[in-house]
Amino acid sequence: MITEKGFDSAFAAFEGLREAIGTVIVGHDNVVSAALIALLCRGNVLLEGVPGLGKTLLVRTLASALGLTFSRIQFTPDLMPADIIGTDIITEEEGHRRFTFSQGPVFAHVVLADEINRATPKTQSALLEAMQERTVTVGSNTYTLDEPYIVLATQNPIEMEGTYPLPEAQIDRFLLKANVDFPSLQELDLISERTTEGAGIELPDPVATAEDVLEARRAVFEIPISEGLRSYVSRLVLATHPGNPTAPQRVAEYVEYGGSPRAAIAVVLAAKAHAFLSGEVSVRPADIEAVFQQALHHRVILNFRGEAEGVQVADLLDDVWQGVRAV
Amino acid sequence: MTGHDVFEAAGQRARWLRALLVGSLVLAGSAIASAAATLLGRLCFDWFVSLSLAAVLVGASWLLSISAFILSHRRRPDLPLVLLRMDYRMGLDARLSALYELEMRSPTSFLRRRLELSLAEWFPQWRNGLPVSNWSVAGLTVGVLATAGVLVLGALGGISEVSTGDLAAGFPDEGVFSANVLPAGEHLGDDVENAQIASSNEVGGLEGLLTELGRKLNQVETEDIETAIEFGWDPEFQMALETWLTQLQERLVRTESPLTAEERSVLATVSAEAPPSVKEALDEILEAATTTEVNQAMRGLLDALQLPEAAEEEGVSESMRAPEESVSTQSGDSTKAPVAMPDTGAPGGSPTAQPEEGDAAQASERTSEASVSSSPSDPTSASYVREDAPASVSEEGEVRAYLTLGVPIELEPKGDGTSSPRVDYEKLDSILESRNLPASAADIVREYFESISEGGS
Repeated sequence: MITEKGFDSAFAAFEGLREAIGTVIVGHDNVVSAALIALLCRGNVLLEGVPGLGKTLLVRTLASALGLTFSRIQFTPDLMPADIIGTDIITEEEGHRRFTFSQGPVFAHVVLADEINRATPKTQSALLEAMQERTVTVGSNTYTLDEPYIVLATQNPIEMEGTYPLPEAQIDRFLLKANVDFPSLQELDLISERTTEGAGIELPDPVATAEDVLEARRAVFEIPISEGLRSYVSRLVLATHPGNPTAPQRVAEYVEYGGSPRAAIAVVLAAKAHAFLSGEVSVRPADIEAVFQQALHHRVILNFRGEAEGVQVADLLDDVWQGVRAV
Repeated sequence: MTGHDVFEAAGQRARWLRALLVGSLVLAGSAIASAAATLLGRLCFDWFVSLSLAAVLVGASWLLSISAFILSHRRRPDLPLVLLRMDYRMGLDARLSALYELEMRSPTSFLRRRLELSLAEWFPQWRNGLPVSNWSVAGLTVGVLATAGVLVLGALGGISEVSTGDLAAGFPDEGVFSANVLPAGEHLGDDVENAQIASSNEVGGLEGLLTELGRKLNQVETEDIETAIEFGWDPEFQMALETWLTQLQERLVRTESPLTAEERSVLATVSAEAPPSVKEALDEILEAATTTEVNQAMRGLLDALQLPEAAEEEGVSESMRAPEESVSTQSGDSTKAPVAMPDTGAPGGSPTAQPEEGDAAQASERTSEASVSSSPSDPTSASYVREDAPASVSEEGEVRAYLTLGVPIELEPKGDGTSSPRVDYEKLDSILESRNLPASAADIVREYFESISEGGS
């Protein structure tokens, strides 16, 4: 059980982390929040947005502010699994040759899987074990990844030709999906100023440690959520299923598959982390509302009719949110 | 006050409130069902709920409600949900329910202390989070109103049964006479039975009319009602008795046979319950030896029954209106008056009917019983007997008073100085107009008499 002092120090660390990120990243509060929440919940984040919006910079800044190792993998169609997770190579030491495992880029604390949908499903699935189990298996050997560990994957929604959409099994492994929106005029001015004046962008010095992150994780898991709110989350998730009687009409019409049980876990955990980041000691309905869209957006799969009619999942989730009441 | 105290108190209160809600809704539902059934039965099937049955229905509704309350109170409330509702109602951001969660799972956590501290200022106001539901208030209100409505319908049903019933209606102000006083299995005679059958065929229409009349009469000035009731006996009983007696008289004339045992039994029963003025006339009929004497006594009784209306018609009621004033007008050398002499409608408005010897003697006795003062200064005038008007005007009284005022009966003088009642429906409109009834009441009275006379023929 976490102590009161550990709780407070972890909270202070994340306050500093957020400030440090804010010195580099302009705007994108929802993306920063999603990354921090995923970090606190032992999850991964899928970032979706057009190129040039600062996704890579965000991940680099996060790793730098935490003093953690960072690696970036550019996914391409010819990328092979071994290129990600590593492979056994023959080495010679003192006249003896033997296989030695050479770690791939997946062995880092913060991994940026850039344009993940450009790699083949075989390569994409190479990340599955690392994302979910925090282990990598090569041959008969299994290697454990260092904590804290987080994968931030990006995908470009406009250049879909020649891409391989993530399979449902893999996309469900992402705790949250955050849309990286185009910055506003003021934010664009500030970005321009920060990148073109003086020495340009400098990544922040570490303001928190891996231990702080682990302590904060324990704190998040201890934050209470009332039974009524937990039940509320379950009802929300169930209402995303087209066959459920509580599902709104448009969900019944346009949705093929609703959120999985992992979605309910994601909402509750993410709400706890959101409450922690907000300085609260219990989950509020506002915390659930803040993470509801991000936790469910990528888990609700449209049917053919929904795709054909260009239905937005966000609109359907709005219907669900409006249709299900907490009490 | 700690969070634990709040949880216990909230659990108790939630239990009471839920029981109250269930109980009130059950009360409202059952009472509405009772009222609807009573009303539908009354309006659609001419089925009248008596006051006692209405009381049973109301009692059953309350019993059901109390049972629902007790059963509901025995069930434990879903406290986490109750606390979450309190959170929402008090704007606590689910902190109260989270505190309960912590108390259940990790009571020693520092988070529990922090939550409790943040809620400390709210604890004294915890009742605001569990107010009495509007549904409970509405359910109770509707339930009470509906049960009261059932009782009122029951009471009205009893009145309607009396107003459209048979001779058993009785004299409500002078001793209740009802069918129950007749021995079991005893019949009222063929004529009465026929009248009852005819009456029962008309029950639906008549009761509807009476109900509507009663409703309309509520708009009539109180003074008018009091004036009417001052001369009114129980009109339904009077009319039924008159009808029966008229038919009996016709039979006696037609068959020239004496009274049957059943007829005597009815007369004796009515006599036992009747006021003194009618009682003596009835006794005279029973004591009469011959058919002629019976007929004479019957005429006297019928005249007596029509006295107040006749007096009202001819404007001689001035002397009868004063509560303490009672007039006895004697005729010729006779010191005795008939049971009651009707106004014969002679010019000048003074009654000219001459009493018979026997009637005069009985009337004299009744006069003394009723504290009647004589008027020796006018030896040619007829003799009247004053009956006390009802002390109060009830809803039932209003209806009967106007029906009495609206009776389209005229007294037709005979050659022997007496008069006999005559029902002339062709003069119904003019009679109603002359009696100065309110228009709405006159319509209903007209409809009433047309109904009982099967179209006025």
